[in-house]
Amino acid sequence: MSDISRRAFLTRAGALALGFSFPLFSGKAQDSQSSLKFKNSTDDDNRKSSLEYHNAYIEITPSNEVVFRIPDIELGQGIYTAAAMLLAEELEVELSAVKVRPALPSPEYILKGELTEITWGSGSTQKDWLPLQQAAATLRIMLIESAAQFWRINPDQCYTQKGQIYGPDNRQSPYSQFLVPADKLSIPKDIILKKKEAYSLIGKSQPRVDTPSKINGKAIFAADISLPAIKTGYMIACPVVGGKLVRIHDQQARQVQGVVDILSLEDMVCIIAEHFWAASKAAKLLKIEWDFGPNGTTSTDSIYKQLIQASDQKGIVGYSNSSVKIETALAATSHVYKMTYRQPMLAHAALEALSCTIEINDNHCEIWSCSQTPLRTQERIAELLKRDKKDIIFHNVYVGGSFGRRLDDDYILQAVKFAQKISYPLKCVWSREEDFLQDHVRPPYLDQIEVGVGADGLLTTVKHNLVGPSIMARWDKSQLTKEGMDPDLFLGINTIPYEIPHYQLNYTRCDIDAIIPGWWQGNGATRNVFVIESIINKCAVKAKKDVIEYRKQLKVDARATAVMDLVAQHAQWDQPLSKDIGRGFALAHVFNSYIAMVVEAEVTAMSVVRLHRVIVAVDCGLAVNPDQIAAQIESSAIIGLGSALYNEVQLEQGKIVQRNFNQYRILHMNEAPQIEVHIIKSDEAPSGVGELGTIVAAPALAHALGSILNKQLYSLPLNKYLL
Amino acid sequence: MITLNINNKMVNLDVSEDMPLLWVLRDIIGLTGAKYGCGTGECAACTVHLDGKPVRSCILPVGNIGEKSIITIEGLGNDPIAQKILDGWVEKQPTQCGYCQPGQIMAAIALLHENEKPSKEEINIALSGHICRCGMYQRIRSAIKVAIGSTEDE
Repeated sequence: MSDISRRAFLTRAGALALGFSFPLFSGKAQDSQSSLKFKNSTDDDNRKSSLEYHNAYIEITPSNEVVFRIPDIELGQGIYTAAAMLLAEELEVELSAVKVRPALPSPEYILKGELTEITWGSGSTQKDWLPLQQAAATLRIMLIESAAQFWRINPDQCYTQKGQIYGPDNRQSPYSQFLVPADKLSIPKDIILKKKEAYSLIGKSQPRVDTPSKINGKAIFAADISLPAIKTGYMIACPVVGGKLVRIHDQQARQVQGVVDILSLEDMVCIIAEHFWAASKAAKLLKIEWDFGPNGTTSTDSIYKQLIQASDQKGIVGYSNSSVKIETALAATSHVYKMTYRQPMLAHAALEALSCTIEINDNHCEIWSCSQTPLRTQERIAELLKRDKKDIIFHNVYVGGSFGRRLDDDYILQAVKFAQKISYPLKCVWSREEDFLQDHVRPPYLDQIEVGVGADGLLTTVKHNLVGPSIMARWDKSQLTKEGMDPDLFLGINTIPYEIPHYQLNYTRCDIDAIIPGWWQGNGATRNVFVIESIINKCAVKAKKDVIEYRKQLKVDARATAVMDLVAQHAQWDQPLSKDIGRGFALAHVFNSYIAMVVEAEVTAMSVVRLHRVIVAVDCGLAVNPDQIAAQIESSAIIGLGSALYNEVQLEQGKIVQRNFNQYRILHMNEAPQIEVHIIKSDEAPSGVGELGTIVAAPALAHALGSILNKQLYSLPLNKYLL
Repeated sequence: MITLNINNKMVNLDVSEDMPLLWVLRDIIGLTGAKYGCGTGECAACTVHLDGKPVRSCILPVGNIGEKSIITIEGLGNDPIAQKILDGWVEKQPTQCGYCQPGQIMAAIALLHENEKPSKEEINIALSGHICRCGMYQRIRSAIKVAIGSTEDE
């Protein structure tokens, strides 16, 4: 178990360790160059009593390493590295001295009610940016103070470098020499962060801190945990949402060598065996009778019929930027276009199928898995087991992709329900097929649009009727507006980079009982930006204008103009391509970042799409780790392109049809385009990156293919237009 | 009883012959570098070497292996080609979630053992069966090019 040794998280080894908690700063990111004042637990009595205002935990060990227990989940986005860079920069230590470890859900490490408790929405660097630097700077000042007291000199006579404190007369000692409990030192009130000119790490590409263990096979994922007497649990849930178990016939399955037990819940079965292979053999012999219930007849067609029927209803006004009645605004335009966009259900299809290792004994329950909401998961487990939260030890280990799936923790609770029935540790591994079947799919949507353009062909008015489920209504009802609007559903519309005088989003909620709607890469922005950018590309074509020039005429702001100009320059936008190749464009302003993408693609004589080249310009504020920003854009672009081209989850008789990668096509190396990422230099606070490429990929590709096929493409996936 | 040559050690195992190598490695021996992704040979996250050739261990019954040498990501030892590949990986940073990487790396090493200087097309052919859900294909190919000292543009 190496670096995730079971007890290491529970007791902070080394009495010399300097514990340091810091408060999360509220409000907007401040100018990092100015002097910063912040409230902390020592000067605010209201906060002093509440541990909930202490979050991250930074520890300097006797060997002069810095251990940071990070609340954010490393999903592949590189937050362990970015966080280590922020700490190392302000603490004046070498990057290699910082060891990032996942925080246990606990008020000491993770701040409840603030963003630190959830990893999502391309948010991790944004939210860590200021607090982490401030914490590190504070700790450095305290270490200097501790050294100055020891040396009986003035702190002004000391300086720090590479984890060492230097004083007069060639005095030099590592930080670890001056570790005293944090409460013995006064916490400095004013801290001044480095000026960006002094950065030695931030803004300079650094290798990922998790690369070594991920390339030597030692990185630990949930199914890699081994404990004495551990068994494997093979999970089989009712394949229809809402269905129930009637009975199982397990005589044959139990006879498979290595099978230990077969347990059942009201809607699930778990085959317990010495290893996965025995369990999967038993699964083939196990006969299960389910009562599929009312969802047992649902199909993709019936779902879209339901959406179309619901579209006749009058929805609520979910978002509007105008006081003029939208019908009045439309009537005042020169021409109105009507279209309907259809966006399919999508699977997450992370390469690591769901997994969770768990041990329950009289004293505590210890779990190794991944949850993007660790505090909530811990609470739900405690509730289920009727135990105290502090006895639920939840280790967030590395995870083989999430794309939003692990914002739900249903699988962890399922594992707990089985593990509490047995006396040995259980490693629950979902088969690939079960992972697909139990996915919380990105739900399907219809977007019915009426757009009005002026005599000059410029877009002035959009009436956007959206029909589909609300994920937020299921996931956290308290986030809905009092009118019942799900704020995720206007993500990307509320930050539109254009001046469109009248934009109204009407929402008709239409729950689909046969699916559990789940968050998916880019959330609402992925859906909305496909619609908005497709509309704008269509209007530009109708107005016989260049799509970039057309956008500029819609008065995009300066940052949007800059990414468009940069991408146009690198894509040689003004040079015509060979006529076999289509070129598509899309722009987005979301998660406080700007991204412009050009996609070049070809449709071969065999009606196969070849993705040639993708050029991206991104403005994500100050680029903390530029190479990993590029990697995130490359990654999200590939996910978005593959999904836009090929992916749809279908239902037949209530069951998800796609159950392995042969039915759910992921782009392969030979199909992946060349991708160039160009990052705008900026001094703004860092903004979101992780999902940007996915958000613009579908509209850019639809535009490129539409220009080859000489028609507008309104439905995803796009390969339907080629069959 | 089956005897396998795993990472240059002979291992006696009391397992059925139809058990795929992946589960012997992971659940019996405790070598967890090879990953389960699909169970059907679709994703190649389980790739290991069999007599130097890349194989999908999730669909390879141990009864079919005989005396052939099995090398996993944990058993690369001092293989200089493996070291070059790992150096390429460090330089190009194609790891994100990391789950597919042991399989990709094993395929890349096997390719270079067979072909010292593969072209872009040859790299594509050798690795196109490997799914990287994070989509790091361009960087994986670049990492291999670094390993072979190629200056060909991506």
